[in-house]
Amino acid sequence: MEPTLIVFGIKALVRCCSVGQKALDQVARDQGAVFPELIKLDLTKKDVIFSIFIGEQFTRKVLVDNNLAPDLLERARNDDAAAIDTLFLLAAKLKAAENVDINGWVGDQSARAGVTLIKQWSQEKAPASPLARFMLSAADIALEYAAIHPKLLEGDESDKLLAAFAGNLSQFIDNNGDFGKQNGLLSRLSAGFLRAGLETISENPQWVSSEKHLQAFITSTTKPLLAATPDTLAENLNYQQMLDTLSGPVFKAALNTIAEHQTQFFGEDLVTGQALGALTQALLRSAAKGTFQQSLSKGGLLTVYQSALEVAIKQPQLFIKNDGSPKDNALEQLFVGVAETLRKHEGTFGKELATQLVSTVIATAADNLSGLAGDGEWSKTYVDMATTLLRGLDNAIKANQPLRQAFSAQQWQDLGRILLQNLAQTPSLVIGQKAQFEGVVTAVATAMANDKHLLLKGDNWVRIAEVAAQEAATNPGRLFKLNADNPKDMRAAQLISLLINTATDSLNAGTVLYGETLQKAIVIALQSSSGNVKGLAENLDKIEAMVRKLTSVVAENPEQLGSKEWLRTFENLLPLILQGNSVEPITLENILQRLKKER
Amino acid sequence: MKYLTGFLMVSTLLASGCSTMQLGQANANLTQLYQEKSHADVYVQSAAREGLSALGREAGAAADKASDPQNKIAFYRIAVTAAWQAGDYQPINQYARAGQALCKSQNLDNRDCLMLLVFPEFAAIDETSEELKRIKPRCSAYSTECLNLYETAFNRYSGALARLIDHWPKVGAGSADPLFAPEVAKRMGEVTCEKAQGGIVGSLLQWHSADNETLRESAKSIRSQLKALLAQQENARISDLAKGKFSCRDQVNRD
Repeated sequence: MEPTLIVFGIKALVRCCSVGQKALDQVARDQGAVFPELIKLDLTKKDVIFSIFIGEQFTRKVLVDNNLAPDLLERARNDDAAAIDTLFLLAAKLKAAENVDINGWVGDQSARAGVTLIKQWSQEKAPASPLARFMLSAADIALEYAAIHPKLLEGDESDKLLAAFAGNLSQFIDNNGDFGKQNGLLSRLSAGFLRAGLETISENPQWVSSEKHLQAFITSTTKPLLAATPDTLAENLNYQQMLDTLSGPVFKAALNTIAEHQTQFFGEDLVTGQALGALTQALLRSAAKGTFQQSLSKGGLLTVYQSALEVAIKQPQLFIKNDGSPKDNALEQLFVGVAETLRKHEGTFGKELATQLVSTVIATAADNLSGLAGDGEWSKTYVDMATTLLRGLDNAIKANQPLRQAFSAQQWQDLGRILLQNLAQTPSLVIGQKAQFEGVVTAVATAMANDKHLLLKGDNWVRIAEVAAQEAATNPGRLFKLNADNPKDMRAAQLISLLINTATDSLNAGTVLYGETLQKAIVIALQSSSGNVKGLAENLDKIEAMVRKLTSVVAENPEQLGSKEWLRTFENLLPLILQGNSVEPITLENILQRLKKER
Repeated sequence: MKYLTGFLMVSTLLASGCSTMQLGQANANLTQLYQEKSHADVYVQSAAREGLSALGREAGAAADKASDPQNKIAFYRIAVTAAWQAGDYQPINQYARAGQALCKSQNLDNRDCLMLLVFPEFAAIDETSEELKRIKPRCSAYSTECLNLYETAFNRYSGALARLIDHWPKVGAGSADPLFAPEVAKRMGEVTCEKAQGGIVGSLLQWHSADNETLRESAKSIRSQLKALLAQQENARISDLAKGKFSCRDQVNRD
């Protein structure tokens, strides 16, 4: 039995609660709603008769036909009570012949027959019932569990579980056939299935897990739920009670069990537990202060929290002091910095991606910067790195809008992670005055901004970033040295841009210089020149001339030369030019001869 | 990290919380207070009105705060109904408009949405009826002022009826309980016959007047407008559903 059961169990409970809440909302919305009666006007008999005996001819004829005095209406106008009563009776008789009862117009005005309640939906247009939604989710969770634990459906465990389940279900159904009213039978049957399942697992946790602490967890979480389900089929399942149980006693029981078996769940590292507490407190405090207002969605908050948790697990000393008290300032500084970075760059990346990028930086830093940044400085360093990455990429996207869509969210994250990961292996390259991180980010971002025709895809750029970071780490302060006055005046950026510009210019002339070939060319260029920046600076024009000529010769001779030949020739000639040597003219014959010699 | 994911989930749940059954409670309160409003004891009636007034305000505020659009709509429906029954006519249109906008954006035509469409008109009718009941004691005989008051009341009734006739295609084709449309029709019949014909035409024609010509002309004009509204309601087949509430056809059409 894997410990993922805990995660699965809690996830399932969260889902149940969420779906249950929606179902509960639907139940509340779909209750009968009052359609009020209109206020009565308190009509008198006199009002009614004067609204019915209209038209002189009609009135005269009716009075004559009924052997009544012709002045009856006039007497009624003068409030003759007998005349009014006579005419009202006559009016009631006339309207009764039309199947209309006018007594209601003058009846007891305060009396109301009952409340008219209107349902939310007509039967044919109603959405799935709340119960159906809840049960479908429960079934889905069960299937997910079966998928994680396939042996449940085969060997001995399944036999035992099924037998126990059937037994519990049988107990639930009354032997005397008392199934309650027809109305809601399906609902009550479903409750029976739920109860039988919970009972089975609650009574036999050893069939689900052989580990004592997991058994305790299962029993403690299923028992409160069990208590909230009806004992017999004649009773109705109370949704509210179920949900209250899920959100209250079940979670309390789950957390208590974890607390009681802390060592089994978390191992001996209690310091980690303290760090987790400090982190959670700091996060909640920052959220309460409105630090994340507008810059983070609820999901985004959890993403940042999750990455910070990784830091807490790997480097608990960053979160707590020697005496075990939390380092509040550092944590809040981290969250404030994250929120500020996100606010600046969410316009370009969108909230979700910006959050993911920041989280990637934090998680990668936690993996690679162990023990270097302490006493508050670490959080500033993390935020600075995140800001550098997002600012660089933000600039590239602003200069070359289609880039945003050319990368998947995962590729953006890979790009950030790989840049940082490769440099952070030598921490002084990402922290302090000789840091190379900003230089590498700027070089890659500048080159990306130049790739207007998207000759390179997201994966290509991830590989280029990896090599750039490796070369920066191997030969710091050379290829990626940043000029504070003109960040674009950097050798690496110039070299990559040279190749991209040549490729762009030859795009319509049958060039092979795009995609993987261009990526490999840039990798060769970075690897060949990182140790010889002087040669690069002195021979940049010659390199460009060589690249342009080579590209055009290969494009003109597609039957004999292709991407392999381009790359091999480039790999041969570049070191020579960087060393200041002259090379033979680039012609078809010379290229073929050079390749032949190489073989 | 496996454990941490679990903790995250718990934190999320605890942070978001499973909200209480506020909507269901508000709806149940509405039904109860509505019943108490027609109680024989005037003190109970008065307390019910106050309760409805408070419920209207609370439901309006809850609608503004709710995040689920369908819950918001339901709260607005409760707010409109409670305010109407409390006699707080002023905020009704504001609640109804906010709810209707959501119905439109969510493409919904269920009971709550249809009630938000027609209830403001019925509330306007009740407001007019209350006004008529107030003026009746001092208008037992003809005066130009009283004639004007009754004409104004009739115009309000006929305006609300005309708007209800406009809404009828949506009411007839909506997804609400099939009982809904007949209940709307029944009340429209009640307004046409009991209120406009019985309450207004009946009152005008019983007056003594030296200025008979003016009075007769006014009554004739009202009956003529009523005749047109009745014809529209018959054409739209509204009267067919009204369970005999269009009980004044013969009188309205009689010269």
